[in-house]
Amino acid sequence: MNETALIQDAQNGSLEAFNRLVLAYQDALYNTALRVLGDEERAADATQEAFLSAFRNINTFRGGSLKAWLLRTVTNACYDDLRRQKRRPTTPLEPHTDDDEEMESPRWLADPSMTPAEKAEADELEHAIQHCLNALPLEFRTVVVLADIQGLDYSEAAAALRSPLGTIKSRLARARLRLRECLQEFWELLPAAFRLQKETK
Amino acid sequence: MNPSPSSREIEQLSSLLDASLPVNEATRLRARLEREPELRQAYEQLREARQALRSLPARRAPRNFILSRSMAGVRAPTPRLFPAFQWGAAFSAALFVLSWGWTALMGNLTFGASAPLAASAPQAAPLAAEALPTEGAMQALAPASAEETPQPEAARLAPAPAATDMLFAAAPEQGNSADSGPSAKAAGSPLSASPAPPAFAPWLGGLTLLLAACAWALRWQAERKFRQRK
Repeated sequence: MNETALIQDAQNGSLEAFNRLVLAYQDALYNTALRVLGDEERAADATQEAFLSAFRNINTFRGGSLKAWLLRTVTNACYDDLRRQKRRPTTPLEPHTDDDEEMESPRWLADPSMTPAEKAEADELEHAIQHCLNALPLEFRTVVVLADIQGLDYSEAAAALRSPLGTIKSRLARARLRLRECLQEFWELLPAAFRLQKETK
Repeated sequence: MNPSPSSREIEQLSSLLDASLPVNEATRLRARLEREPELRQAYEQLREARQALRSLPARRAPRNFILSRSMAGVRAPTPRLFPAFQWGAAFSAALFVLSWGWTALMGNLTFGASAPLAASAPQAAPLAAEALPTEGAMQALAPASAEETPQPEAARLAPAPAATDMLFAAAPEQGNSADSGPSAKAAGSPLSASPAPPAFAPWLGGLTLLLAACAWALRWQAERKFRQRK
Protein backbone atom coordinates (compact mmCIF):
# COMPACT_ATOMS: atom_id res chain seq x y z
CA MET A 1 0.00 0.00 0.00
CA ASN A 2 1.44 3.33 -1.03
CA GLU A 3 0.22 5.46 1.81
CA THR A 4 1.34 8.75 0.33
CA ALA A 5 -0.58 8.10 -2.89
CA LEU A 6 -3.66 7.08 -0.95
CA ILE A 7 -3.48 10.22 1.15
CA GLN A 8 -3.16 12.33 -1.96
CA ASP A 9 -6.13 10.59 -3.59
CA ALA A 10 -8.16 11.01 -0.44
CA GLN A 11 -7.28 14.69 -0.38
CA ASN A 12 -8.59 14.88 -3.94
CA GLY A 13 -11.90 13.50 -2.70
CA SER A 14 -11.47 9.79 -3.33
CA LEU A 15 -13.52 7.99 -0.72
CA GLU A 16 -12.18 4.66 -1.92
CA ALA A 17 -8.60 5.70 -1.18
CA PHE A 18 -9.61 6.98 2.22
CA ASN A 19 -11.41 3.74 3.02
CA ARG A 20 -8.22 1.82 2.33
CA LEU A 21 -6.52 3.96 4.94
CA VAL A 22 -9.43 3.27 7.27
CA LEU A 23 -8.88 -0.46 6.91
CA ALA A 24 -5.19 -0.03 7.66
CA TYR A 25 -5.66 2.04 10.81
CA GLN A 26 -9.01 1.05 12.23
CA ASP A 27 -7.56 -1.40 14.75
CA ALA A 28 -5.14 1.19 16.11
CA LEU A 29 -7.84 3.81 16.45
CA TYR A 30 -10.32 1.42 17.99
CA ASN A 31 -7.78 0.17 20.52
CA THR A 32 -6.88 3.71 21.49
CA ALA A 33 -10.51 4.65 21.96
CA LEU A 34 -11.14 1.45 23.90
CA ARG A 35 -8.28 2.11 26.31
CA VAL A 36 -9.19 5.74 26.79
CA LEU A 37 -12.92 5.21 27.19
CA GLY A 38 -12.93 1.71 28.66
CA ASP A 39 -16.13 0.78 26.86
CA GLU A 40 -16.40 -1.16 23.63
CA GLU A 41 -19.54 0.43 22.27
CA ARG A 42 -18.46 3.96 22.97
CA ALA A 43 -15.04 3.17 21.57
CA ALA A 44 -16.61 1.98 18.32
CA ASP A 45 -18.70 5.14 18.08
CA ALA A 46 -15.70 7.33 18.77
CA THR A 47 -13.69 5.49 16.13
CA GLN A 48 -16.41 6.03 13.54
CA GLU A 49 -16.65 9.68 14.48
CA ALA A 50 -12.91 10.01 14.20
CA PHE A 51 -12.77 8.57 10.70
CA LEU A 52 -15.64 10.78 9.59
CA SER A 53 -13.88 13.81 10.98
CA ALA A 54 -10.60 12.70 9.42
CA PHE A 55 -12.21 12.43 5.99
CA ARG A 56 -13.73 15.87 6.28
CA ASN A 57 -10.44 17.36 7.36
CA ILE A 58 -8.02 15.27 5.33
CA ASN A 59 -6.93 18.39 3.47
CA THR A 60 -5.52 19.81 6.69
CA PHE A 61 -3.06 16.93 6.91
CA ARG A 62 0.28 18.43 5.97
CA GLY A 63 2.49 15.36 6.01
CA GLY A 64 4.29 13.61 8.82
CA SER A 65 2.90 10.60 10.62
CA LEU A 66 -0.61 9.79 9.45
CA LYS A 67 -1.03 7.44 12.37
CA ALA A 68 -0.29 10.24 14.83
CA TRP A 69 -2.69 12.53 12.98
CA LEU A 70 -5.45 9.91 13.03
CA LEU A 71 -4.80 9.16 16.68
CA ARG A 72 -5.30 12.83 17.40
CA THR A 73 -8.72 12.71 15.74
CA VAL A 74 -9.73 9.69 17.78
CA THR A 75 -8.44 11.27 20.97
CA ASN A 76 -10.55 14.33 20.22
CA ALA A 77 -13.55 12.09 19.60
CA CYS A 78 -12.91 10.45 22.97
CA TYR A 79 -12.73 13.84 24.66
CA ASP A 80 -16.05 14.76 23.08
CA ASP A 81 -17.57 11.52 24.28
CA LEU A 82 -16.27 12.04 27.81
CA ARG A 83 -17.59 15.59 27.83
CA ARG A 84 -21.01 14.29 26.87
CA GLN A 85 -20.71 11.60 29.50
CA LYS A 86 -19.74 14.18 32.09
CA ARG A 87 -23.18 15.73 31.90
CA ARG A 88 -24.51 12.60 33.54
CA PRO A 89 -23.71 11.95 37.17
CA THR A 90 -20.83 9.49 37.47
CA THR A 91 -18.57 8.18 40.18
CA PRO A 92 -15.64 10.55 40.52
CA LEU A 93 -12.35 9.07 39.40
CA GLU A 94 -10.54 10.51 42.36
CA PRO A 95 -12.64 10.61 45.47
CA HIS A 96 -12.17 13.17 48.17
CA THR A 97 -11.15 12.57 51.75
CA ASP A 98 -13.18 13.68 54.74
CA ASP A 99 -11.26 16.95 54.61
CA ASP A 100 -12.46 17.42 51.04
CA GLU A 101 -8.99 16.88 49.64
CA GLU A 102 -8.40 14.82 46.55
CA MET A 103 -7.02 11.36 47.23
CA GLU A 104 -3.66 11.24 45.55
CA SER A 105 -3.00 7.57 46.08
CA PRO A 106 -4.79 5.17 43.77
CA ARG A 107 -5.05 2.68 46.63
CA TRP A 108 -8.72 3.56 46.96
CA LEU A 109 -9.18 1.56 43.81
CA ALA A 110 -8.79 -1.66 45.75
CA ASP A 111 -12.45 -1.74 46.53
CA PRO A 112 -12.83 -3.28 49.99
CA SER A 113 -16.38 -4.23 49.12
CA MET A 114 -15.18 -6.56 46.40
CA THR A 115 -15.76 -10.17 47.26
CA PRO A 116 -13.07 -12.78 46.63
CA ALA A 117 -15.12 -14.03 43.72
CA GLU A 118 -15.21 -10.56 42.21
CA LYS A 119 -11.53 -10.19 42.76
CA ALA A 120 -10.97 -13.49 41.07
CA GLU A 121 -12.94 -12.18 38.12
CA ALA A 122 -10.92 -9.02 38.04
CA ASP A 123 -7.60 -10.74 38.25
CA GLU A 124 -7.09 -10.91 34.56
CA LEU A 125 -4.33 -8.64 33.58
CA GLU A 126 -6.33 -6.81 30.98
CA HIS A 127 -9.17 -5.99 33.32
CA ALA A 128 -6.79 -4.90 36.02
CA ILE A 129 -4.86 -2.63 33.70
CA GLN A 130 -7.99 -1.20 32.15
CA HIS A 131 -9.33 -0.59 35.63
CA CYS A 132 -6.18 1.33 36.54
CA LEU A 133 -6.18 3.19 33.25
CA ASN A 134 -9.71 4.36 33.88
CA ALA A 135 -8.58 5.70 37.23
CA LEU A 136 -5.98 7.96 35.67
CA PRO A 137 -6.80 11.57 34.90
CA LEU A 138 -7.69 11.90 31.24
CA GLU A 139 -4.57 13.78 30.20
CA PHE A 140 -2.38 11.11 31.79
CA ARG A 141 -4.41 8.32 30.30
CA THR A 142 -4.19 9.58 26.75
CA VAL A 143 -0.44 10.06 26.96
CA VAL A 144 0.18 6.60 28.34
CA VAL A 145 -2.13 5.00 25.78
CA LEU A 146 -0.49 6.75 22.86
CA ALA A 147 3.07 6.18 24.02
CA ASP A 148 2.96 2.76 25.64
CA ILE A 149 0.11 1.04 23.84
CA GLN A 150 0.26 2.65 20.40
CA GLY A 151 4.02 3.03 20.49
CA LEU A 152 4.23 6.68 19.49
CA ASP A 153 7.46 8.41 20.35
CA TYR A 154 7.47 11.58 22.43
CA SER A 155 7.37 13.96 19.52
CA GLU A 156 4.52 12.07 17.83
CA ALA A 157 2.57 11.96 21.06
CA ALA A 158 3.21 15.67 21.53
CA ALA A 159 1.95 16.34 18.02
CA ALA A 160 -1.08 14.12 18.51
CA LEU A 161 -2.05 15.79 21.77
CA ARG A 162 -0.84 19.26 20.79
CA SER A 163 1.13 19.51 24.00
CA PRO A 164 4.74 20.51 24.61
CA LEU A 165 7.31 17.74 24.66
CA GLY A 166 8.17 18.44 28.29
CA THR A 167 4.53 18.05 29.31
CA ILE A 168 4.34 14.73 27.52
CA LYS A 169 7.46 13.43 29.27
CA SER A 170 6.27 14.56 32.66
CA ARG A 171 2.75 13.16 32.25
CA LEU A 172 4.03 9.87 30.94
CA ALA A 173 6.39 9.39 33.89
CA ARG A 174 3.71 10.23 36.42
CA ALA A 175 1.13 8.11 34.66
CA ARG A 176 3.42 5.09 34.69
CA LEU A 177 4.16 5.54 38.34
CA ARG A 178 0.51 5.82 39.26
CA LEU A 179 -0.36 2.85 37.13
CA ARG A 180 2.31 0.81 38.83
CA GLU A 181 0.95 1.79 42.23
CA CYS A 182 -2.57 0.91 41.17
CA LEU A 183 -1.53 -2.42 39.72
CA GLN A 184 0.21 -3.23 42.98
CA GLU A 185 -3.26 -3.73 44.45
CA PHE A 186 -3.92 -6.52 42.01
CA TRP A 187 -0.42 -7.90 41.99
CA GLU A 188 -0.93 -10.91 44.17
CA LEU A 189 -4.21 -11.74 42.53
CA LEU A 190 -2.68 -12.09 39.13
CA PRO A 191 -2.00 -15.61 37.95
CA ALA A 192 1.66 -16.48 37.70
CA ALA A 193 1.47 -16.60 33.92
CA PHE A 194 0.20 -13.04 33.89
CA ARG A 195 2.82 -11.67 36.24
CA LEU A 196 5.00 -9.06 34.74
CA GLN A 197 8.00 -10.44 33.05
CA LYS A 198 11.30 -8.81 33.64
CA GLU A 199 12.59 -7.30 30.52
CA THR A 200 15.85 -8.66 29.28
CA LYS A 201 17.00 -5.23 28.36
CA MET B 1 19.14 5.81 53.10
CA ASN B 2 18.45 7.98 50.07
CA PRO B 3 15.21 9.90 49.93
CA SER B 4 12.58 8.79 47.41
CA PRO B 5 13.19 10.15 43.90
CA SER B 6 11.90 13.58 43.00
CA SER B 7 9.47 14.24 40.15
CA ARG B 8 12.36 15.41 38.02
CA GLU B 9 14.24 12.16 38.65
CA ILE B 10 11.16 10.11 37.88
CA GLU B 11 10.81 11.94 34.61
CA GLN B 12 14.45 11.27 33.78
CA LEU B 13 14.04 7.61 34.63
CA SER B 14 11.03 7.39 32.36
CA SER B 15 12.98 9.00 29.54
CA LEU B 16 15.86 6.64 30.17
CA LEU B 17 13.43 3.77 29.85
CA ASP B 18 12.36 5.05 26.45
CA ALA B 19 15.94 5.68 25.41
CA SER B 20 15.17 9.32 24.81
CA LEU B 21 17.63 10.81 27.27
CA PRO B 22 20.77 12.49 25.96
CA VAL B 23 23.77 10.17 26.10
CA ASN B 24 25.69 12.01 28.80
CA GLU B 25 22.62 12.30 31.04
CA ALA B 26 21.83 8.65 30.47
CA THR B 27 25.35 7.62 31.47
CA ARG B 28 25.18 9.64 34.66
CA LEU B 29 21.77 8.24 35.55
CA ARG B 30 22.85 4.67 34.95
CA ALA B 31 25.76 5.16 37.29
CA ARG B 32 23.40 6.47 39.95
CA LEU B 33 21.09 3.52 39.44
CA GLU B 34 23.95 1.25 40.41
CA ARG B 35 24.50 3.12 43.62
CA GLU B 36 21.00 4.16 44.74
CA PRO B 37 18.48 1.39 45.46
CA GLU B 38 15.57 3.84 45.80
CA LEU B 39 16.22 5.12 42.33
CA ARG B 40 16.64 1.61 41.07
CA GLN B 41 13.30 0.60 42.56
CA ALA B 42 11.50 3.54 40.95
CA TYR B 43 13.07 2.63 37.64
CA GLU B 44 11.85 -0.96 37.99
CA GLN B 45 8.34 0.23 38.79
CA LEU B 46 8.23 2.39 35.71
CA ARG B 47 9.50 -0.46 33.60
CA GLU B 48 6.92 -2.84 35.01
CA ALA B 49 4.12 -0.42 34.33
CA ARG B 50 5.25 0.00 30.77
CA GLN B 51 5.56 -3.75 30.37
CA ALA B 52 2.05 -4.22 31.72
CA LEU B 53 0.66 -1.76 29.21
CA ARG B 54 2.54 -3.37 26.37
CA SER B 55 1.21 -6.76 27.35
CA LEU B 56 -2.37 -5.64 26.77
CA PRO B 57 -3.81 -7.64 23.92
CA ALA B 58 -4.53 -5.62 20.81
CA ARG B 59 -8.22 -5.90 20.11
CA ARG B 60 -9.49 -6.15 16.59
CA ALA B 61 -12.02 -3.61 15.50
CA PRO B 62 -15.50 -5.09 16.00
CA ARG B 63 -16.51 -4.03 12.50
CA ASN B 64 -15.21 -2.15 9.52
CA PHE B 65 -15.33 1.58 9.90
CA ILE B 66 -15.21 2.36 6.20
CA LEU B 67 -17.35 5.30 5.22
CA SER B 68 -20.26 5.08 2.84
CA ARG B 69 -20.91 7.91 0.39
CA SER B 70 -23.93 9.04 2.35
CA MET B 71 -22.00 8.99 5.63
CA ALA B 72 -19.20 11.00 4.14
CA GLY B 73 -21.63 13.34 2.43
CA VAL B 74 -20.01 12.70 -0.94
CA ARG B 75 -22.20 13.74 -3.87
CA ALA B 76 -21.69 13.79 -7.57
CA PRO B 77 -20.30 17.08 -8.83
CA THR B 78 -23.03 19.51 -9.77
CA PRO B 79 -23.47 19.77 -13.55
CA ARG B 80 -22.57 23.19 -14.89
CA LEU B 81 -26.03 23.90 -16.27
CA PHE B 82 -27.86 22.65 -13.19
CA PRO B 83 -27.98 26.00 -11.34
CA ALA B 84 -29.30 27.75 -14.45
CA PHE B 85 -32.20 25.34 -14.73
CA GLN B 86 -32.74 25.31 -11.01
CA TRP B 87 -32.95 29.07 -10.72
CA GLY B 88 -34.96 29.31 -13.91
CA ALA B 89 -37.52 26.89 -12.54
CA ALA B 90 -37.66 28.75 -9.25
CA PHE B 91 -38.11 32.12 -10.97
CA SER B 92 -40.75 30.76 -13.28
CA ALA B 93 -42.60 29.16 -10.38
CA ALA B 94 -42.50 32.42 -8.48
CA LEU B 95 -43.93 34.28 -11.46
CA PHE B 96 -46.60 31.66 -11.84
CA VAL B 97 -47.66 31.97 -8.23
CA LEU B 98 -47.52 35.76 -8.38
CA SER B 99 -49.71 35.89 -11.45
CA TRP B 100 -52.36 33.83 -9.74
CA GLY B 101 -52.00 35.81 -6.55
CA TRP B 102 -52.22 39.12 -8.37
CA THR B 103 -55.28 37.97 -10.24
CA ALA B 104 -56.97 36.84 -7.06
CA LEU B 105 -56.02 40.01 -5.24
CA MET B 106 -57.17 42.32 -7.96
CA GLY B 107 -60.31 40.28 -8.38
CA ASN B 108 -61.16 40.63 -4.70
CA LEU B 109 -60.39 44.33 -4.62
CA THR B 110 -62.43 45.03 -7.66
CA PHE B 111 -65.22 42.77 -6.48
CA GLY B 112 -65.34 44.56 -3.14
CA ALA B 113 -65.25 47.99 -4.69
CA SER B 114 -67.65 47.24 -7.49
CA ALA B 115 -70.86 47.13 -5.48
CA PRO B 116 -71.22 50.89 -5.04
CA LEU B 117 -70.19 51.32 -8.60
CA ALA B 118 -72.82 48.97 -9.84
CA ALA B 119 -74.55 51.81 -11.52
CA SER B 120 -71.60 52.29 -13.79
CA ALA B 121 -71.36 48.59 -14.53
CA PRO B 122 -72.66 48.89 -18.05
CA GLN B 123 -69.42 50.65 -18.90
CA ALA B 124 -67.60 47.32 -18.52
CA ALA B 125 -70.32 45.22 -19.91
CA PRO B 126 -69.05 44.64 -23.43
CA LEU B 127 -65.72 43.27 -22.24
CA ALA B 128 -67.31 41.35 -19.44
CA ALA B 129 -69.72 39.78 -21.80
CA GLU B 130 -66.85 37.97 -23.47
CA ALA B 131 -66.03 36.25 -20.23
CA LEU B 132 -69.62 35.35 -19.49
CA PRO B 133 -70.62 32.18 -21.25
CA THR B 134 -74.32 32.46 -20.60
CA GLU B 135 -76.39 33.72 -23.38
CA GLY B 136 -79.06 35.15 -21.12
CA ALA B 137 -76.65 37.45 -19.41
CA MET B 138 -75.31 38.63 -22.72
CA GLN B 139 -78.80 39.45 -23.82
CA ALA B 140 -79.40 41.28 -20.59
CA LEU B 141 -76.32 43.38 -21.05
CA ALA B 142 -76.50 44.05 -24.73
CA PRO B 143 -79.05 46.89 -24.58
CA ALA B 144 -77.18 48.65 -21.84
CA SER B 145 -73.94 48.67 -23.75
CA ALA B 146 -75.60 49.69 -26.92
CA GLU B 147 -76.98 52.82 -25.31
CA GLU B 148 -73.68 53.89 -23.91
CA THR B 149 -71.20 56.14 -25.55
CA PRO B 150 -68.08 54.50 -27.05
CA GLN B 151 -65.76 53.04 -24.47
CA PRO B 152 -62.76 55.01 -23.37
CA GLU B 153 -59.38 53.46 -24.24
CA ALA B 154 -58.59 52.61 -20.61
CA ALA B 155 -61.78 50.73 -20.22
CA ARG B 156 -61.04 48.66 -23.30
CA LEU B 157 -57.64 47.78 -22.00
CA ALA B 158 -58.93 46.94 -18.55
CA PRO B 159 -58.28 43.31 -17.56
CA ALA B 160 -61.06 40.91 -18.17
CA PRO B 161 -61.34 39.66 -14.56
CA ALA B 162 -62.02 43.14 -13.23
CA ALA B 163 -64.61 43.69 -15.85
CA THR B 164 -66.06 40.32 -15.04
CA ASP B 165 -66.40 41.29 -11.42
CA MET B 166 -68.13 44.46 -12.30
CA LEU B 167 -70.45 42.49 -14.43
CA PHE B 168 -71.15 40.13 -11.56
CA ALA B 169 -71.89 43.06 -9.38
CA ALA B 170 -74.16 44.43 -12.01
CA ALA B 171 -75.87 41.18 -12.77
CA PRO B 172 -78.32 41.21 -9.81
CA GLU B 173 -79.41 44.67 -10.80
CA GLN B 174 -80.00 43.41 -14.24
CA GLY B 175 -81.71 40.44 -12.68
CA ASN B 176 -84.16 42.79 -11.01
CA SER B 177 -85.36 43.83 -14.38
CA ALA B 178 -87.89 41.79 -16.17
CA ASP B 179 -85.68 40.14 -18.72
CA SER B 180 -83.03 38.82 -16.37
CA GLY B 181 -82.58 35.06 -16.85
CA PRO B 182 -81.55 32.33 -14.44
CA SER B 183 -78.01 32.40 -15.81
CA ALA B 184 -77.60 35.96 -14.65
CA LYS B 185 -78.59 34.91 -11.15
CA ALA B 186 -76.06 32.12 -11.28
CA ALA B 187 -73.38 34.56 -12.36
CA GLY B 188 -73.91 36.48 -9.14
CA SER B 189 -73.06 33.49 -6.96
CA PRO B 190 -69.79 33.53 -5.00
CA LEU B 191 -68.34 30.57 -6.90
CA SER B 192 -68.51 32.28 -10.19
CA ALA B 193 -66.97 35.41 -8.69
CA SER B 194 -63.40 34.08 -8.88
CA PRO B 195 -61.52 35.87 -11.66
CA ALA B 196 -59.87 34.11 -14.52
CA PRO B 197 -56.04 33.92 -14.46
CA PRO B 198 -53.99 35.74 -17.08
CA ALA B 199 -53.60 33.97 -20.37
CA PHE B 200 -49.87 33.40 -19.89
CA ALA B 201 -50.28 31.67 -16.51
CA PRO B 202 -50.55 28.14 -17.96
CA TRP B 203 -47.45 28.81 -20.00
CA LEU B 204 -45.59 29.81 -16.89
CA GLY B 205 -46.73 26.65 -15.15
CA GLY B 206 -45.57 24.55 -18.07
CA LEU B 207 -42.25 26.35 -18.21
CA THR B 208 -41.71 25.74 -14.50
CA LEU B 209 -42.34 22.04 -14.89
CA LEU B 210 -40.08 21.85 -17.92
CA LEU B 211 -37.16 23.61 -16.24
CA ALA B 212 -37.54 21.55 -13.08
CA ALA B 213 -37.57 18.35 -15.12
CA CYS B 214 -34.42 19.42 -16.97
CA ALA B 215 -32.65 20.21 -13.68
CA TRP B 216 -33.66 16.86 -12.23
CA ALA B 217 -32.52 15.00 -15.37
CA LEU B 218 -29.14 16.72 -15.28
CA ARG B 219 -28.63 15.83 -11.62
CA TRP B 220 -29.76 12.25 -12.18
CA GLN B 221 -27.40 11.81 -15.11
CA ALA B 222 -24.47 13.21 -13.09
CA GLU B 223 -25.25 10.89 -10.17
CA ARG B 224 -25.43 7.89 -12.51
CA LYS B 225 -22.08 8.73 -14.08
CA PHE B 226 -20.57 9.23 -10.65
CA ARG B 227 -21.80 5.84 -9.46
CA GLN B 228 -20.49 4.12 -12.59
CA ARG B 229 -17.07 5.75 -12.18
CA LYS B 230 -16.90 4.59 -8.58
